[in-house]
Order: sequence, then structure tokens, then C-alpha cells
Amino acid sequence: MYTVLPFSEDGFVGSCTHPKLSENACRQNAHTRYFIEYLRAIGCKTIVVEQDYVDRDYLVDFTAYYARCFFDYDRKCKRLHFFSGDFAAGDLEALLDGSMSPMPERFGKYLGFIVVKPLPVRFFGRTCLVTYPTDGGRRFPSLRRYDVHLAGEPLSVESLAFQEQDRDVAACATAAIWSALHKTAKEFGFRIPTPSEITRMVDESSSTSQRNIPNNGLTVEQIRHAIKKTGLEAEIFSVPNLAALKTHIYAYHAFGLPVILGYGLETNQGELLGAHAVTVAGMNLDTKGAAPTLTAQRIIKLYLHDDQAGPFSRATFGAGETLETQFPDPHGPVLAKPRKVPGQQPSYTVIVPVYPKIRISVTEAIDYLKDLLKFFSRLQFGGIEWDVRLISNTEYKKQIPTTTTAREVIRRVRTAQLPRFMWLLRGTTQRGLLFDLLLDATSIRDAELHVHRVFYDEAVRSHVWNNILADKSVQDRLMQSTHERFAKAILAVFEPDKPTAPANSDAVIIA
Amino acid sequence: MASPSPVQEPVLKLTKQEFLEALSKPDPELPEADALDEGEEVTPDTLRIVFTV
Repeated sequence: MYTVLPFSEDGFVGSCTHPKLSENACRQNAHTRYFIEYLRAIGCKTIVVEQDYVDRDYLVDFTAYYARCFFDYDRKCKRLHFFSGDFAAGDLEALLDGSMSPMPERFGKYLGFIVVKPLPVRFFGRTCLVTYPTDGGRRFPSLRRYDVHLAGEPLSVESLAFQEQDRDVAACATAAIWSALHKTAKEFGFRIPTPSEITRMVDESSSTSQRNIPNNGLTVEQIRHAIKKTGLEAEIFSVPNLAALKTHIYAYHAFGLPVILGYGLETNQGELLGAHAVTVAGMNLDTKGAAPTLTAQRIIKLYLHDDQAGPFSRATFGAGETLETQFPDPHGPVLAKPRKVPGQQPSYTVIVPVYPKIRISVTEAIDYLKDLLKFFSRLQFGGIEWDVRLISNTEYKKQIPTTTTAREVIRRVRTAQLPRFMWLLRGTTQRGLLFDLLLDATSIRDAELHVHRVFYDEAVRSHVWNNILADKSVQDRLMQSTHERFAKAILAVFEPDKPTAPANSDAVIIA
Repeated sequence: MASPSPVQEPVLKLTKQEFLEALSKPDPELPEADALDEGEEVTPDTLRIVFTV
């Protein structure tokens, strides 16, 4: 059963209401207000309401909790679909009875859906909406495709699933894990658990004595345990300042992995609200400003799946060590701040669910970068911007710039035998790309990690090699002045390419 | 990602000897050192942070 109505505040509120949710309660809900503004921003014109929708996530939560409550709760939801075109009920009827197919242009772009759960509070379920336009510096690398069928009509939306915190079967951290796994588990072939399943995955023997359902919150340890139970591993970092936070988030998120971010919340009245966990679902980079040393430092905003605010809610980097969030508060903006840990400086918590084969973390990549920075400083060669991020073998070979790179270099890259996951350290100067150093992200710690390099600026490479590094005494001195594995990586970067075998050979080139 | 600008010749005036001298000096100060901060050690106290809001 479908209903069509033009998008408006009243139309949206009316679409959400059900026997356990009054129009007034819906209108006062902070998420309702957020969604109305968001749908306006993405250009929504028409809503199609799908009644009696069976949502897997809610159904599992229903059987785990709501079915056993004394009061009756419905097991079916509503799903609201959003379109950028203007159309009426008759148009949808014509589509449904087959007299108009395929979907005509006047339906416009499919903007995604929101599942409305039959609950009196916290009723916004699985939500997949298009992002703000990606022009300018906005980046949403962790989106995936969600296929939807509207009465047999195939539709799809590029998004990352969001849902409001259900305090009965889940907490904010559960929602953050659930959103992150929607990309990471799917990407690496693992099953995506529902919120109540995540809550039940939590190790009951861990540090908190609180019960799982109803749920009052998860610890970092419990988050790690839940992630491990899905088959993935959790990289955990305790990051003391916003600059380092940008470095850590960018390193994983630019690869397409959502990052779970934990922080303390403080109102602008100075009231501490407690610790909160969100999922980083996008970032905004200043692409016009002066080149920083690290590309990650270009981040000026994060887009968060904040279960208390909404999907792709903004967190803006301001002065000091705080982020201004869209967490709802009548007194004004709520700030995200580092959390105090006994014996340490206050820190943000960064948790990244990763494929188990990704064994080398960004920490090792930063170690290599530090030595590169020292090397170039001693060389008195400045003005390099460093892009440090995880990358897959396939993605690396796909992204190599074909218009500005020599054909021989492209061939070397595309025929190189490389590990499945690598850390990319890419230097860029005002002249363009300088070089890429690739580290094996599947290796073991403290091993030699460099597996390949591509030098784009041959004038720089040959100058440094011929005039300085080719000399054995300089190489020996370099080995003595830094850790051997870093020195070897630097020499590998500047060494001349070895002659390549013809295209029809099985040659493997590891520079 | 660096802002585009006219192509310039690489500015590398350093000699081999000067580089060797630079290697014998203490490590240079790193630019944007905060951004390279690897963070605090993850301890049992870190793992006990509870997200409740």
C-alpha cells in the first residue's frame, strides 16, 4: 500500500505518525526537525509512504525485546521514500499497474528512504539518504550502494545507513558500530549484525556490570569485542589533539572505512553531558588554502552519523581542541572535547573496524613519514605535501594518473606484484606529484615494510641520486643515522629503476 | 592536492658534503609535529571509557 504526497514539514510529520506516535510528539522530536532540514537541503519534492514494511533490523530487535513486552508493539514498519521530482498519486498508480514503465523522468532522482518504526519514541530506523552534493571539498568515501524495490521498480541510493539510538536494545556506541559495519562488513564479506545482535555480542564478563538489554552504554572494550565477533579487528587509538585526530581519521577514511569516534560532550553552558560515540561518514577538505605538510590537515569539517542528531551531521573544527557539533541542545552548539583518561592527557578515542589482514596501523606509516620528513629537511627540500592513507592494490593501480605519468611508469605499477592492502605515502610539490612510497599493510610490525615506489618527478630523483645518494659512503652514513629499515626505504625511493622485462613476460617488479 | 602553480625547476643546491654534515647533526624539528603525534598508549583505563549519551 503506497501513499504519495508533496514534501513539506506537515507532510513529513504526517507520514511518520502511527497509532503509538502522535503528530505533536513527532513534531517535537529533534530528529524530525533535523530530517526536515536535511530533506530540504538535498532537494526533496515528493514522499512515497510504503505501509507494512518488514525491516530486518527492527524485526530482529522486535523478537529480541519488543515481542516480550506487556504492551503490544507492531512488528511492521513504514518506509518513506524521497524523490527530487514532482509527481502525484496517479503517476505512482500508473507505475504500479504497469501502464507507465520504466519510471518517468518527472519522478526525478531517488533520494533514499527512512524506515519509521512503530514505537512511541526513538522511532527513526534504518535510514539511507543521499549526501550533500560532493562539490567543493566534501568527500564521502565510505558510501555504498543500497538497492531498493518500490513495488518491483528497482531503485538505488549511494549512502551509509544511519539509525536513531534505541535506548532499549542499543546505545549510541551500538548505533556507531552498526553504521560502520554497514560499509566495512559488507566490503569484506562479513554479515552485518542488527543493533540488538551487536548489543548481545558484547562480552558480559567485561568491565561494566550493567545489563545488556535495556542498554545504558558500551565501553571501548565492549566495542572492540563486538567488532571482533563479526570477524573484523578493531584498531584503537587515543589521540590527544585535533591535528593528530585529522591524521588518524583521514588515513583510514580516505580509503573508504568509516571511523568510530568517541569524545566528551559539553554544552555551551559548560555542562558535561558524558561520553558519546559517532561514526565518521564524510569529511570536508579545504582544497584552496596553502598546502599543509599533511593533506589530512586540510580537513575543516567532519560529517558524522550522530544517532542523537542525524545522518551526515556537521562537526566543525574551530579554535582550541574542540569540535562544534549538531548535537541537539536548546542552549546552542554542543562541543566535542577530548576525554580524560587517568595518567594521560585528555584524548579523543578513534576506533576503526578493519579487515584482519590489515595488520600494520597508521602508527607505522607515521613513523616512516617522520623519517622522510627528516630526510627532506636535511636535504633542504621543502614544500612537500604528504598524503598518507591506506589503499588497496586494485585501487592503487586504478588511480595512477594516466595523463601525467610516463607510460613506462604506469606499466611498472600495473604489472607490479603488490600486497592486497598498503599504506600510501604520496609526496606532492608545486611541480606536481613527486613520488609514492608504498608500505605493506599486511606485514608484521618492525619488519621492512616498503614494497614499491613510483617516482613521478625524474628531475628530482636523478639529481638527488646522482649528486648525493649514489655514493656508498653517503648510503653508509644514512644507515648509521637512522633506523636501517627507514634508510633502506629512502634509498629504494631514489634508486634508478631497474630495466623492465617485455610485456609478455611474467616479470615482477619490486622497486 | 597542492595548489597548482607554474612549473618550477627543483631547488636542490645541497652538496654531498653538506648533506653528510646535516646527517651528523641532531634530528631536525618536524613540521606540524602535533599532526604526527601517534597518541597515547591504549591502556585498560582507555578500554573502560563508557559511551552513555
